[in-house]
Amino acid sequence: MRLLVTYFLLTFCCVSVLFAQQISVRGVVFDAKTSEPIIGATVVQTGTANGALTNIDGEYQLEVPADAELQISYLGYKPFTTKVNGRSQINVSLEDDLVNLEEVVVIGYGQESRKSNLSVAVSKKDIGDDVKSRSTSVIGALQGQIAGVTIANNSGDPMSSPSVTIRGKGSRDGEAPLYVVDGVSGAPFNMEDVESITILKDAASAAIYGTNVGSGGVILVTTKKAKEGKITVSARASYGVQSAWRKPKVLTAEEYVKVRTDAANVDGVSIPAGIDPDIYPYGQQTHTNWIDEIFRTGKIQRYALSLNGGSESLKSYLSAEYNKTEGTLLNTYAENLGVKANIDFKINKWVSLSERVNYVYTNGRGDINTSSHTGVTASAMFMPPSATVYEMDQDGNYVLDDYGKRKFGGTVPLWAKDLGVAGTFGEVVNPVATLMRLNQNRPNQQLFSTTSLVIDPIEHLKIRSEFSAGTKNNYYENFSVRVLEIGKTNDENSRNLMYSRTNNWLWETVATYDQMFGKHQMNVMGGYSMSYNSYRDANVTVYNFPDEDEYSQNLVNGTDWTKTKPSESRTQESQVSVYARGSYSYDDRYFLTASIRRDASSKLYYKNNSGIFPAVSGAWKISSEKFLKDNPVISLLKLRASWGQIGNVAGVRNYSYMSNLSQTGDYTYLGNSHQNPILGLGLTTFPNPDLKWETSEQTDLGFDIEFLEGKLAFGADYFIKNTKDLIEEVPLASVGGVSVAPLGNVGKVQNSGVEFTLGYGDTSKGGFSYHVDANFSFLRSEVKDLGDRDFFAHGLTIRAMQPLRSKVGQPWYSYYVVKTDGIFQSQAEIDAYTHTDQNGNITKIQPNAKPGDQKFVDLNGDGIINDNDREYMGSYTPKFTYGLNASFGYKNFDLNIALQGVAGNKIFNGVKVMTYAAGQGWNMSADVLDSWGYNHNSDIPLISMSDTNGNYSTVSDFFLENGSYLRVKNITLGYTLPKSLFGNAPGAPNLRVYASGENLLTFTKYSGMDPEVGNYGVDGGTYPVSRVVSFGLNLTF
Amino acid sequence: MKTVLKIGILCLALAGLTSCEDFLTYNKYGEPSSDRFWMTENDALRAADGLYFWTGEAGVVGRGFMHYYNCSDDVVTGRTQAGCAAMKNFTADYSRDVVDNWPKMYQLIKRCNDIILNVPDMNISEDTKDKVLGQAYFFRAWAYFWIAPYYGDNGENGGIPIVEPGLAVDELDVPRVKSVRDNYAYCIEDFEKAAALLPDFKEWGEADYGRPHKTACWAYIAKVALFDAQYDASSYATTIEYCDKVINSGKNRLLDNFADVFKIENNYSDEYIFSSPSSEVAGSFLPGALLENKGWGQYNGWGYFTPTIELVEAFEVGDKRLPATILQPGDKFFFLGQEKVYYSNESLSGMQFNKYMDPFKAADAIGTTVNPNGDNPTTSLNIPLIRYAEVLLMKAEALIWQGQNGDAPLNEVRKRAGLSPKQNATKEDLMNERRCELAGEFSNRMLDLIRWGVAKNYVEKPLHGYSVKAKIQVPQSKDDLEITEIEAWPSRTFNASVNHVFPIPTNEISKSKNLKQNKSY
Repeated sequence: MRLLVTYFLLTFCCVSVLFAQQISVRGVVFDAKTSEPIIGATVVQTGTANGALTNIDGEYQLEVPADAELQISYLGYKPFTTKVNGRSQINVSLEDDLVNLEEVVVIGYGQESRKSNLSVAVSKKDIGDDVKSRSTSVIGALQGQIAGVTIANNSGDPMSSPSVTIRGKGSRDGEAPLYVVDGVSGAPFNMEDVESITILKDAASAAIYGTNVGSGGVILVTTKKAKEGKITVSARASYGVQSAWRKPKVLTAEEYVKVRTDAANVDGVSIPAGIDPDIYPYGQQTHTNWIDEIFRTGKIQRYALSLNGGSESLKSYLSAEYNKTEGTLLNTYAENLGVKANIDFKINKWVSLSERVNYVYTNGRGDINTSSHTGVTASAMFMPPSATVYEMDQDGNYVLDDYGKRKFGGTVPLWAKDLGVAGTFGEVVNPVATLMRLNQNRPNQQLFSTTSLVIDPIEHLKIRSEFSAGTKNNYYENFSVRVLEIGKTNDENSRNLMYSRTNNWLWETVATYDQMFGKHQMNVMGGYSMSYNSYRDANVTVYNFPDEDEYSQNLVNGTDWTKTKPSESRTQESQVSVYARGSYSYDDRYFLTASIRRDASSKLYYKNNSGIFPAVSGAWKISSEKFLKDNPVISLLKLRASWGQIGNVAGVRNYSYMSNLSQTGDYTYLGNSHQNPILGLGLTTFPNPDLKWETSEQTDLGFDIEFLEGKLAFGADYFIKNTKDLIEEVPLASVGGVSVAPLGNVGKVQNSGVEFTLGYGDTSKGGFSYHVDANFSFLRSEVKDLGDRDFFAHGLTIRAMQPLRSKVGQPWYSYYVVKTDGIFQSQAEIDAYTHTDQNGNITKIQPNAKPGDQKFVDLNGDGIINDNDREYMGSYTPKFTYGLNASFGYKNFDLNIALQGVAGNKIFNGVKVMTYAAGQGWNMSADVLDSWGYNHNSDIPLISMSDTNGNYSTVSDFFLENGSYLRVKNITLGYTLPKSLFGNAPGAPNLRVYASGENLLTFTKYSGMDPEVGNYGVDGGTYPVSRVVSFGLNLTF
Repeated sequence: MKTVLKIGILCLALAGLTSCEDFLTYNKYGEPSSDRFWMTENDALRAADGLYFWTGEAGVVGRGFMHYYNCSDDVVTGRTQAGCAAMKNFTADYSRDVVDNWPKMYQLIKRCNDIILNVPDMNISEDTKDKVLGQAYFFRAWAYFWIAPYYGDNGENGGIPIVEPGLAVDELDVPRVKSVRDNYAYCIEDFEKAAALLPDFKEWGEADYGRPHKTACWAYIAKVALFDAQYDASSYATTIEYCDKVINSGKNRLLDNFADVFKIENNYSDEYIFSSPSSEVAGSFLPGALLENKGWGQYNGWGYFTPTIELVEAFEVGDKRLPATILQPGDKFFFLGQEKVYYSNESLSGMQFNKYMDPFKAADAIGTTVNPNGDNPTTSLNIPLIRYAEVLLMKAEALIWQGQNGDAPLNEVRKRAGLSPKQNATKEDLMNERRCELAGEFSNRMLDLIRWGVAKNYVEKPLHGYSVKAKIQVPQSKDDLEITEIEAWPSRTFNASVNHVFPIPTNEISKSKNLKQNKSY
């Protein structure tokens, strides 16, 4: 309430002020060609320091003598001079300086700056037709486009989205950047509406967003605004197909029998019945290629339509888009429908009001476990090739279920049950059945509204107050059927319903004051914001449905309601912030900006819930100095320096400052007849009321240089980013007695690096235009301090191996593995690999090894191979990332090519752990045909059933592979139909058709399905990124 | 204009100064936080119910320490599993769920400590207070004793850390105690306290069967003392004293028929002292883990630890316990409503345990007595952790090891097994009796072998099983089987100065600053 009063007070006192009573000149400065207003143009009284800048509508106002002369200028336009001659209204149209058209960049809280005036490190990317023609998401399309920004696909799952890392990983949970959509943090956006994306890379630019930023940086999304004029309609449609570009190869049944028999012979154990040709000849024949069975060609469809236009006082924008993507794994898909409406009212000269409403609907099937030994891709590799997708009887006829549908097959057919072969192939689930049985429905709906009131009470001052409210409803329903085929059975069906709702609001009021005094230009901004977020969900699972047909899959038919207790959760979160920023520049030569923000969040204990985040940046535009001005070669030369701090509480669990009890997971059934199920309470973690903001501090030094009026541009940045007071789960000895480690502020991670961008573009006389951009970044990540710890062991596990650790002096999340030293070629080598202790006793270091086994390096020299012999061997974070983007235009053709790559990173190939080891009875990778037993030059050890040497249970560098790759990320060729086809009339339709290919070629030494594995580089058979080919058209009229 | 600016800034500043505390603090919905707990009777009861979470933990009463039982000569890993094989061969491997015991037991200890710290001052009925505290003392001791014998010794390695109630977070990483005997002394003290507070078994009332009771405390004291006696023979007297307390209370007896002990209807029979409560929904999956790999195509058995010919031969001729304990090729048994002739192509020793097969007998077993989810094959058979027969054997052992006559309690066990009584039974007699009576149970022969100092003799031998082929597709009797004796596991090396304790899971070492690994691991 008090805030509301404050707000009214603020706006009221502003509008009640009287305007100055002097004669003045006012007018609008606009682009001669497009008639768009020019923002930030300089209007100066010749020979004086008296001047003004045009506002967002291109308007200026200046008090001058009646006989004065005005100079109007703006970078990229030819300057214009005119006598006032007593006029009070002078509108000016400026003509293009053609080459020197310069971008305006939004840098947060409404401030816009010409790119050449920036003192901070930001990158802007316009999202035009070239990007929208691509089949990826708008963020996915930025991969390889921006120096210092690493965008990685975590998987090819249609429901997953790429991750964005700006200048290296600092914190575990704070890596996801903050999306600010038209000034509103966390608002949704549709691809169709995106006009440009600006990435605030350094802390100085991001600090104004304070703690919302996380350690990840800020991505500003600017969407299309309503524009004055005739209604324009734009439509877009595309259709494409995607498929996995590389699939794993596994053994055929014949090969499997051979390898398994040989492995059994190594150990001198008998072969299991299932591969004994006398008992089970069926197992000797290949019936199914499981990899081919689970993958398919998926269709991708995208449609969008937008309308835009209106009058000065009322203009509107409306858009809708629909996308549907079928995954490359059977039965997976994602779809979304987005609608946006935007209405702008200009109530009078100084008050305007606008409303934006977004509606987003998503649904899909996916999110399936692909990255572990129980995942679908793993199952497809493990499933015996002798098995069939559908159950067949001995005569080769399909076996039908109660509903007349084909039954899925198991690892061995049901008719073979009595042969005693059921256990031979281990606990594997038919992956086709797993995928086809996916029965999720998860419609999510989000409605988001932003109302903004803008008041220009007086010249130079603008007050904007924005209220946003959103609601997000997620619904999840699933029916799991009985799995009865031989393998891993589950004779139980269940239905799970989950409903959640997030409500949030955000209220922000910002006042901006912008003034120019002669050569001095200043801008002051102050603001206040409050936000609130509430979340609640309810979850119920009911078991045992006698019938499984579609119409019986309803809670009412479930018979067991007691097995799982329904659950409910409810949380609230809020934040209050104040912030201010001042910018000053002198004579287009010196630029200085400073900002400060204070945030307080409910996530932390109220006594230490606030943090202050300052930033400062400066630039010297040398090219504006007299000695370089009008230099024919160098058109821009600027040095930049910035420093700032941002905060992060993203990783903090709600209520973590309190000592919270949790219910035990499973019932214990007490009582003589199990009549008394009990669920108790206990502490599962410790509170940390002292927890404070994690802070990321960054210093950036850079320069920009442009030659030949901007045709050739080069930029470089050096940055050093220290993430301090890192919020992490502090490893606590298990004797502490909690299952979840408490959170603490521990240590410091440093990321430092260098970024270069180079661009060259021109238009030749023949109408051929081209532009080539290259970017390259080098990143060094190092853990500087972990409090009183030397290292953190990370729990990420693949077949019981935990390859990741963070240690002081090493990159964050490094591989910590035992080094291998080739393969023992003979018993003599094994016998010679010995350790001598102080007493002169000689022992074999690997007593259980056989020729063909791996030799492990006894790092600590204690004569045994164990965890103490592990060493740090790199990380998944690439040292180098680079991209090359080229666009060409000739007559009506346009061609875009994007290349992208990373180098200097490693991947832990967990698929090898799972598919090279014979012990479980699973089918194996075809690579084992080249193992030591078959080829003594091989680096793959001998395949044995017992693996007594631990070739596949020792976390070793055998599983580490070079993760570098270079991708032809995208090629898009477009053709715009000649206007003459439509009669050349003004407003005639513009029709462009195009073909686009995504991930067309990948060069990599990595042997897995795809080098983009996410998951900190631990590949457990991730859903691979696909190759996509699509065709589409854009129509505007 | 300047006025406007000033007012504007002032307004913003005012807004900024608005007190945020109300807007930035929330009470938590759902499960309580400690500041709203430890108030009502219900709070105390729910805290006590929180002490049973381990009954559903795979690593505790599923396979868990059975991985270390697998180090003995009773069993082999019944399926090819490299991680299990490494543990059996004493080449450290931490990939299996046995590593869960350490953290889970310290979580149990923490919950007990929280009760012991908070409940005494609560304003609730004395009866509830006693029962809640009694359970807390019992489970604290039980948790220490569950892990201490595996990791601690009275020598260079020492005992395991003892965490006192109420330590601050930064004091929790306590180092190991000097000797495992300190752990045992601590356990006995807690079990004593629990015995004073807890009711007799029957006094709990049928709905609360499964909770610890007086007799269970005494039986455990006897057992802890027996483990302590390997370091100090004077503890044998404690074992005898507490065995006698159990025996003389007259509340327990051996069931007439050995096989009946492992039936669901006898979960709480007169022989019951303490078990891990289990049901077809949640509990111990040991019965499923020991069942034939893939359950002859009808259920997801896992085929883990299977008995050896060495174990079979330990049974005297006519021992009724043998068929109840082990399924040998040609034995008839019921599985999901059908009578089958046992044989296995899957089991690496050609046999399997029969002790936990009762839940699988009925045609409608799946969903009734067996968990339909083959990922967690629990059954409604409780898993005995200490039963009356073991009390008798402990008394016999304590007597014999002190050079006295232990025949009476020993022969009571033998009589039920249908065997003739022993006279002046020797240590070897006792060792063999204990082996046969408790085969396949969590009492764990490997601990016994180490305790008796004879592990090397039994471990460093090849272990044997059968390779079985059916002559016809559905064998009707043993005659339809072709049975060959095979070496199921080669001889292993047991280094008594190292392998008398197991390695503390490496994750625990890396998470702690003070925890020292056992020597040479």
